[in-house]
Amino acid sequence: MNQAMLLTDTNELTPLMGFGLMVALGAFMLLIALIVKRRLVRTTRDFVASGQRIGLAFGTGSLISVWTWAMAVMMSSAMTYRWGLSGLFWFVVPNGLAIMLVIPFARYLRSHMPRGYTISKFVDHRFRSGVSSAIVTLTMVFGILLEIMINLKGTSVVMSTVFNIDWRTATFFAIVIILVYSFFGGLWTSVMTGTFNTLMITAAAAAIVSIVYAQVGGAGAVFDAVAQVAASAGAGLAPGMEWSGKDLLGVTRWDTAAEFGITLAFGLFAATVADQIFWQKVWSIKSRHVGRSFFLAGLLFYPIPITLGLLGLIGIGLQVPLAQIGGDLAAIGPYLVSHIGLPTAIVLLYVLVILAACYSTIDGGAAAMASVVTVDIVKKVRPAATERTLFVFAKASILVSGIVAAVIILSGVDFTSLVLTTYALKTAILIPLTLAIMWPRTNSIGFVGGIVLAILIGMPIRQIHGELAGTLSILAISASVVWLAAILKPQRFDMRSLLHIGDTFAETEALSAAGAGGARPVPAQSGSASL
Amino acid sequence: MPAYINGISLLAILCAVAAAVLFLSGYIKGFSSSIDDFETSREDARGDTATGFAWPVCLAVVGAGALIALLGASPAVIAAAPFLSIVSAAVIGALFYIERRLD
Repeated sequence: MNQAMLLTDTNELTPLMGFGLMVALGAFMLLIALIVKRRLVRTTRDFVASGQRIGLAFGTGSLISVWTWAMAVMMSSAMTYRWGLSGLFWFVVPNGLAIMLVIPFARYLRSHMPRGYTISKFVDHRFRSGVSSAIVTLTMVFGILLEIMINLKGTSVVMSTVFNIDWRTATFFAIVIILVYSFFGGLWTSVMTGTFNTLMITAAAAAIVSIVYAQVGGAGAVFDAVAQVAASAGAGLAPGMEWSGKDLLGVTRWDTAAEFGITLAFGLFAATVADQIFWQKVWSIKSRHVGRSFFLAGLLFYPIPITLGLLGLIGIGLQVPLAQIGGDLAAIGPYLVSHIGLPTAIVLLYVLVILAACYSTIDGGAAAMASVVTVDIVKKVRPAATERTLFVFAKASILVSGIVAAVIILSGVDFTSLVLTTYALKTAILIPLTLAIMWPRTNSIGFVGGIVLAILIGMPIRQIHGELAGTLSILAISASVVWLAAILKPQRFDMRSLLHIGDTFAETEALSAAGAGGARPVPAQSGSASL
Repeated sequence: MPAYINGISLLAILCAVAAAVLFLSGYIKGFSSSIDDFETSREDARGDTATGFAWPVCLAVVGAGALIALLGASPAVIAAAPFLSIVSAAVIGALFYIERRLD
């Protein structure tokens, strides 16, 4: 196994093939979306919450697909390539756990607030404070925008690495295609297309990785080559990123944990618990399947990054320098698959795997944005909004979120500030939000104060002392403030009061039905039976 | 036989195809069940009675960590790992068939 295996050019992979692949996958998704629109969507509640009728299999599949970002598909290889198996360990283990950690909060809120639809709506009723719900709504909006942007970026990386397509063109193409099919059917479309995409990121990805290993000489050859690289003096992917002398086949490297593992773990926990993409699913999956869906999603997700991460070992074994793949760690997977002389069809299938991950996360984000806009913004500003108005806003929010994300990417603006803001909000909100759900003594002063102080004090600490110290400070400050406020201003929230919250969509449907007799009647409050 | 086809990659391809068939047949069944469910217009608000997730979650996390650690112990584990992804696809396909029995 050596670098001579790597081809210098990939002339067979033309930009036209890349565009064709993007359009073909989009066209298939559009077909599913049109069937969904015709058969499963009549009201805004169907569009935004799938009528709360998503079953166990679609629930599990769609959770896996929205959690498997395009970047995650590539980052599992990238982290292995950078750190060896300890990178894979720290990338994968908290990733699956992050989905399963939602289970207690999801089950509790779904049973206590059966018609919630959004986490901001819960916070609004929990604290009766505009500031609290505004902070949460803002966090959700920023979070969704960032997810769309990161996945668009991931698509542009793979399309430019494999097909030599200009990254701007790839970004533009991807967002237009995804918005076209996401526009029809809302959450149902996202669930159906996302579940289908799960097939790509599991079975297809597994076959591809096995084929890649066979092409480079088998697992034994890669294993020996990695061990040899660790023992060779001077081996490394770039200055400051040495392989030699490191335990590349072990998982106990402290430097991996300290430099990215622990921070990533907390970031991932915040990414699920403080993300409307997941809360939308909590209120859309049939209530009896909520816990099982999140558990199975976490469990069945694990093999995906483990499998794709194995490509990173080949990168080490072949000693591919970082500069050779354009200086971006995430490009190692696409680079290897497209440069080891595999048939074009297999390379195209690999790109389809990444596109599937990208499309499903973006359409999931767009569907989540529709729920935030309709429930937390439009219905709050205009409580008497009609079913038709709500539907228009739901669809418009999908288009606007995609367009805004694409414009930010295409403008070439450094979106570090958006990344930092979202990171700060999500990490600061993690503990106050979980306490708001599970600890009735949490009050609005503690909730808002915890988030604000954690950001004001924790972010400068992060800037001065690094990510680990910053993250731990943000978590500690937010938790302490919530606890202090509960002691200084004792009060107990009656969680049972959440049961009496009206159904946003049923109320709108009832209003519209009374006015025009159009919408499908929906029982106003049958969720209490779930208790 | 091209280099990229050996015993393991061939087995992986065959297993992936079998899992895809199960997945797709389940998917079609699940799709039509969702439409039937929707057309009944009947609310289903039964609560989530499944309990005892703590131990399975711990086992899943420890299992994933142990598997990654084992990748560094033997090339055989590296060769076997992709098959778990195929199992994931097959389980999702099977869920479409068994979810009603879990009610």
